[in-house]
Amino acid sequence: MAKIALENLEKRFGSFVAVESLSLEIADGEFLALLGPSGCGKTTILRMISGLTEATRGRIHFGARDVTGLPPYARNIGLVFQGYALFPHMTVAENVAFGLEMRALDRGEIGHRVHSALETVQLAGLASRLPRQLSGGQQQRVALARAIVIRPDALLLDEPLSALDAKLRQELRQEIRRLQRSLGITTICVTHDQEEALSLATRLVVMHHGRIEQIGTPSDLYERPASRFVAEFIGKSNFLDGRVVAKDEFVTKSGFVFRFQRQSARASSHEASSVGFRPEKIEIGRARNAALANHVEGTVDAITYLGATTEYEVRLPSLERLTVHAGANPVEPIGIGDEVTLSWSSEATFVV
Amino acid sequence: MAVSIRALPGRTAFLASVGFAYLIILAPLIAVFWVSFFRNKIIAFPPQGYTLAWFANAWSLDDFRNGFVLSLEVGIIATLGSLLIGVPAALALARHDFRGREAISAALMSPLIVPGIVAGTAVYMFYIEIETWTDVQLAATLPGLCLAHVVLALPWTVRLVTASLIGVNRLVEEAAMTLGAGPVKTLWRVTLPMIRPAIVAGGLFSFVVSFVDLEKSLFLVGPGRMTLPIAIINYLEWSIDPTIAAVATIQILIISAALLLTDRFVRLSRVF
Repeated sequence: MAKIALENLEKRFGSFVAVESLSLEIADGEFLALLGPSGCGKTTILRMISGLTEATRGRIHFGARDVTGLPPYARNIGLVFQGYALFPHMTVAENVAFGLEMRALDRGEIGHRVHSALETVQLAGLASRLPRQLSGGQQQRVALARAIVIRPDALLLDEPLSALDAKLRQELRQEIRRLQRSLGITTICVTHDQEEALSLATRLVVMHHGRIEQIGTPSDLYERPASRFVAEFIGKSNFLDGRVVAKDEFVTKSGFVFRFQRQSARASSHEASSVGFRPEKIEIGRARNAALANHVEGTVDAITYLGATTEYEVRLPSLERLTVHAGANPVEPIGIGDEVTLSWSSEATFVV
Repeated sequence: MAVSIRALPGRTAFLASVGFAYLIILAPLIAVFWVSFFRNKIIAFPPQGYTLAWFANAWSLDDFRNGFVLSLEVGIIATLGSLLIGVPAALALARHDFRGREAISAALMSPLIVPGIVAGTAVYMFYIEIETWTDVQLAATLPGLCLAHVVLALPWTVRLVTASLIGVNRLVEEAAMTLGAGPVKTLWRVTLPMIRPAIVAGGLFSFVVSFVDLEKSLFLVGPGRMTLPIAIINYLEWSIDPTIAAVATIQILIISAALLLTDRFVRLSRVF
């Protein structure tokens, strides 16, 4: 277990820059998620950390150890692959024992550690099965056990849950979380699933076109997105184009004036930018809520029942559309075609 | 119900064509097997009774006994040689991109295309050339014969193993490396076990191809020595009694045994 430091890490494939001069520190025992759409370079970073892909430039440190030039088998990492990549010709126990055998531990020690790793992932009863006799979720657990049993300096997860169905995914998410905490192992998880990243990691890195778009805690990214890309990638947002006219005032192209409290560094005053606010931060009703700073009136165009919430599409007089998520049981019933007022606070409003 | 009634003619046609295909494949084998027990002095119908005498006669003839031993010997050596060269060659061809890759691949496959009689002549002339230049005698020697049979068997091993390697998930090998296995350990513990069915099948085909080869061996055996197929041809020149059917029956049984034995270790249906 160790701190991981990436220094100006870069990967080029010919003239294509997959990862551009990336520097990042992952604290000892931290759970970091690399989040981004496919092709943003996140998997390339993981492969460079594991040594499966050679970095074009830059350095990688595990604690005090510079591992940049080391092959994967000399790095001491546990990698859980997308699709698991279990050894098809070995039993569950042999799969888990493989890394320990490579370390030339004695048989008793190997048996003991394999057993306890399988118990940790609740598979002790399936030790003699072959991978093809297991369900997707069980294979995933074997891959996890195989990666942690060697007590790696870092646990790397590549889209670990993408092949599983929704219910199982949630269950395993809890399990990975619990496991990571109890082992205190430095973990990096690559995913394109924002829900997975938000629920697993203590810190997130949002990637876009081989570059870091924003680093922060889940609530940092959600409440204070640094760019429109982040705001759109994580959760849903309403956006209206316009520009900042005062320290806390934004005027949209269509002439609405909104008060805001958060402005990203990239959105400088007086230049074209966007004001954003989350659908669930908006109150919808016939009368305005005077306690909130921002108001706008419109007509309900569509209503979608989503169970826990109801989604309203509201058309503004300027023909712009806003999405509102409200509790499923509104105080006053709202129907399609109703005139409504939307209210939200300046804290919930950001400029990117 | 309506569906199954409508499907019935299709099913009957299917079974009939399968039956016909089996008949065409098996009829000659069954005929040979049957004839080998006839008491007739020449191969002819109907049988005038049954005897095991032809099997005893085959064994009593030196040509057949020695030919059988030599064919077995050459077959085993050809199989080992084909695997020792073919598996590494397949690994290189499937995993690396290098100059001349296509050319090497085509050269390894060429014994499948060149008619055996032509290849036999060519190899013979090549051996004579080598002898002229280096004084190393290959023509009419056991090493020379085995070498030619290795070349004959190579395409099978290379093709089967290459196809199998292409189907191997590279991530599994990468997983082994992240767990601490170097290139050699990864090959030995992960890659080779994953392509084991193809290796076994390649070995089997190498043996069979060598065991039944006639054309190449004709040019390459030493004076007075002969493989089993050559012994059969020689015998046929002078006599057409059922001894020949008895020998063929034994040959068929040996190859069948090899197939069945192999199938016990790897499901051959999984290779093709």
